[in-house]
This record gives sequence, C-alpha cells and structure tokens, in this order.
Amino acid sequence: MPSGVISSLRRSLSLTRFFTWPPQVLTVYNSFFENYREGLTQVGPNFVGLKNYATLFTPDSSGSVDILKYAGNTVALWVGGAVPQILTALLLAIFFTSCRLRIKGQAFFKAVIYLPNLIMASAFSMLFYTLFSNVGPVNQLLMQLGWSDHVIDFFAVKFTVRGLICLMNFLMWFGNTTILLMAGIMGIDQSLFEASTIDGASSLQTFFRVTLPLLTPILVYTIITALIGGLQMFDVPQVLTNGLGTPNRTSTTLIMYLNNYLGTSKNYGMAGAISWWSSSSPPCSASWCSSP
Amino acid sequence: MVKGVSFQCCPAAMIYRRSIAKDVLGTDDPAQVQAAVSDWDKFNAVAEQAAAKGYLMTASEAATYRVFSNNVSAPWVDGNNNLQIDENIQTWMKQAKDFSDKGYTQDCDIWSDECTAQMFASGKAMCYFGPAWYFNFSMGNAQDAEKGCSGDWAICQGPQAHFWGGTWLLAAAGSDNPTMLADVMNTFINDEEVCSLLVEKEAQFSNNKAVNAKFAEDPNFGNDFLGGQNDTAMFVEMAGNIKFENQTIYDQLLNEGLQSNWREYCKGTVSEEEAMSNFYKYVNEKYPSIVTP
Repeated sequence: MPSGVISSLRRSLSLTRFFTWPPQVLTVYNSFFENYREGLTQVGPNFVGLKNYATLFTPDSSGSVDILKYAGNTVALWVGGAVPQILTALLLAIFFTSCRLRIKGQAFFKAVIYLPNLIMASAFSMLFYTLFSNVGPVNQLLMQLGWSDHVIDFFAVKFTVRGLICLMNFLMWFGNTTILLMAGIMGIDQSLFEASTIDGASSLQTFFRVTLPLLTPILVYTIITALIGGLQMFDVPQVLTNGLGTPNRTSTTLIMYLNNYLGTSKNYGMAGAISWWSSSSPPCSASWCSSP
Repeated sequence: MVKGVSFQCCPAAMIYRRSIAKDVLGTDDPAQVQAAVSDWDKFNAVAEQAAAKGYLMTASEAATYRVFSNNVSAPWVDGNNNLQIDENIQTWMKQAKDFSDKGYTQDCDIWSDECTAQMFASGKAMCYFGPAWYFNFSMGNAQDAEKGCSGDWAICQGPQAHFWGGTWLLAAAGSDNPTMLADVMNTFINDEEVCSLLVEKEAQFSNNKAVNAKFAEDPNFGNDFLGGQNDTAMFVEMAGNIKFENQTIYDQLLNEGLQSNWREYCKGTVSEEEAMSNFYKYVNEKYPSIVTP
C-alpha cells in the first residue's frame, strides 16, 4: 500500500481511539465505585473495589445468576432473529442478482424490503404491542375466524414474546442484509458464473462452489455486524414488554438489565460492571478481535 | 417558603357504573351502594354477585391497589432500610390473585387499553377508583359521544379512603419573573372565580375550601358525567379521611413494581416465589440501598 494511504488510515484510527477509549476506560473506572441516586439524594461516589462485580454474580434465591440468564436471553433472541434473517437475505440476494431469473421491478422490491428498517425500532415495537395486545386486532381476528375461543395473552408466554421479538428484528434487518449481500455477489466476476454454467454446473453447485466461497468476506462482515447489533438489543424487547422482560424476565436482554440500573437510580457503579462484563465476555471479544 | 402548590385536591372515590350497580345490587343510589361496599369483605361479596351476573368487579386487578396502599400502617422501608410489605398490601395481593382466579377482574395494567376498553357503554366493569381528574384525564372512553356512557356513572367512598396524584405548579429555581409566578400560583388556589371555573367547566375538585363548600352546598350543582351527582360534596367529605403519614419517596416505583411483578403470578406465568424474587430484583435495581429478603 502506498505510504499516503497508511498515514491517512493511521490518522482516522487514532481519532477512533481518541473517541472510543476514554468512555471505555471511564466505564471500568466507574465500576469500582458505589455511585447512585435515591430520589433527590446522591450517594457516593465511594470506592468499593470489586463489590459491584460480586453483587452481579451473586446467585438469587433460586440459585441462578441473573446476568448469565440475561446473556442467555440475548443470545437466544439474536440467534432467533439473525439466522432466518441471513438465510432469507442470502436467498433473495441470489434471486435478485441471477441473470437467468431477471426479476422485474427489482428496484421496487428492494425498496419495499428495506422499508421496515426506516421505522424507528421503538415505534415498530409499539405497533406490534398494539397489534398483539389482548384487545388488539390479532386477537379479534383469531376469535372472529373461530381459530381461538379465548383471548391469547401473547405477552405471558416465553415462546410468543421471544418469537415476536425475533420476528421484528428479522423484518427490520433482512432488507438491509439483502442489499449488502447483493453488493457482495455483484462484486464477483460474472465470467466465473458463465464458466460454471458452460461446464455444466447446476444452480446449487454454482452457489456452493462459486458464490458462497467468494462471498465469504462480505458474509462474515454481515454476521459480525448482526452480532454486534444483537448484543446491543434493547429497544424492541424494552418497548414490547414495557421494560419488564416478561414472562419471568425471560426476554430481558443485557442492555435492558443495564438500563434497569441506569433508568431511575443512575447506578453508574453497577451499570459500569454490567457493561464491562458484557463487552469483555467471549462472544463480544470475538467480534472485537475479528472486526477490521 | 412555598415552592409549589397544587390547583387540585385529590381525594379519590369508587367510581361505579349506575346501570351495572342497579343490575347487581338493585340500586344505583350512592348511599346504598356505599353501604354495600363499605369494607373489603362486603366489597369482595359484591364482586362475587357481579361475576354471577357476568360483570367484572374491576377492570384491572391493580384498580384497588391504591386504596390498600394509601392505608398502610407502616411505610415501605423501616428504620434500618429493610423492605417491609405491609399487611394491607398483602391483603391486596391475596385479593388480586383471588379476583384474577375467579374472573372478577382482568390481569392488566390500570393504564392499559384493556382496562380502559371496559369504560365504553359495552364494558362490563362495575368499579374504577380515582379522584376528580380521573373523569377527564382517564375516562375518555366513557365520555365518548358515540360509544361512551356519560351520565351512567356515580361515585361513593368505597371500602377505604384514598387519594391519587394531582398536578403541581412549581417555581423553577432562578426564574426571572418570580412575582408573576407567585401571581399565577395565587390565582389558581385563591381566586374564587378561577377555582369556580375549574369546578364548573373542568369538573375538577379545587384546592380552595370556600369554593368547594359553596358547590357542596349548592342543591343545583351536579356533574353531568355522574348523572347529576354533586361530586364536590362527596369529595369534601372524603378529603377529611385521608391518611398521609406512611408516604415515602419510594412509593411510586415500588407500587408499580409490585403490581407488575405480582400480575405475572396472577396470570399464572410464575410461581409466588418467582414473582416475589423478581419484585426484590426490581427493588434492588431501583433503590440499591433498600435491603430485601
């Protein structure tokens, strides 16, 4: 690489460091203090060492450690949304870029599948809450069609709450992923596809032997950005469950847990411990290391 | 020094549907309905009667919560910062589960659409609990010109005296016009003309004893929403019974947290232990200094 490029990169990297390191260091620093508000009274900051971390990992009366449970919730919600999202996006990207199919009105469909992403996540979540509430249209429809003889409380069942969250994340992000993967596929030399067709490869063989290997860098990028987005999951479950993570806190994500501490008591100590643990935990450090 | 005043006074009442009361109790007269629900045992008995006729006693299991929590014998937190759940709150918890299991109420938040949907003319809920502001602020469905049932409501004290909310006029520190602020505040509490307008036009219960007394004694005054009942006269009487001594800064959030976590138990999605454990977690998150069991 020419030296000019490297020096300009170095500049932007140091700028990134400048803006991202101080908050991270401060987060760790804050996690060693007792520092919260109670009504109008400010308590602390008092140095307490690792007490916040000890509190974080103290098992509750049933013997489970909350933060591990919420980390599990976060991963479950991410996998449930991201796997169908990436598979669907991959399929759509192949359809849209196929020169054999030549789908008409591509621009229209691309805009339509991207549209849910333009809605604010919390507004989208509020919409789903209204649709699926006990007095909402979905319940009315199910009753009128005779598919259900009683009101279904979608927010009292772990499967449906998580399912709705995954569905929303899927709907909001599959359009975006499709467009990224399409760009990746269009970046592959068209002559390779032609050559494989001439050699008699089937569509499946072309996909697994040509498209997928050459698409890997973009696919990995998509998965990593989706993983980061998934670990930060907050607004959709927060609004859908009114911050409670119902039922029995099974849809409470790590960031919702963080927000529980920050929301009213402004407990920077505990919040710092939670965010430091979450960001240094295995899945997240993996995405740190592999991110470009 | 006065830093803020409220233009409302908020003793709260049991607000009931006249037509449902007639069907269940054979009367919609406030005095007779009051006699039928004057304590919690009687209230629960009426709930059973209402359910037998296909009605709901309340539209949310938390509707009665405030009546219990305003009459606690001890605050949420004792001298050593230990969380304590008062006997009255525990009575509510039993009542909520009981009402929920027997179908006397719905498992929903008091602010939810599910709860307020029962205010329409087609609604089945007999009782709501609230002060004067509740009519305009929260009973929009009941006031709806087409689907509502304005005039089909009345108030009585209910099982215990209670109060709820109120809007305050606060002076901000460093305000550049303190005399005008004082003037505005004074007008809202001392100007009898303005306070009378609040009562007549806005159906509020004003924070002015003289004005309230004037309307309470006026035989021609009545609230159309309540079928012409003189609500001011009722509120004047109720205001005297309110207890304040066990209020704490923790009340709002702990009340909300207990209601929402206990609701999961009422629905049957968690066990009683899980519900309480989740409530204690909630308390620890909101108030780190409170010691929970």
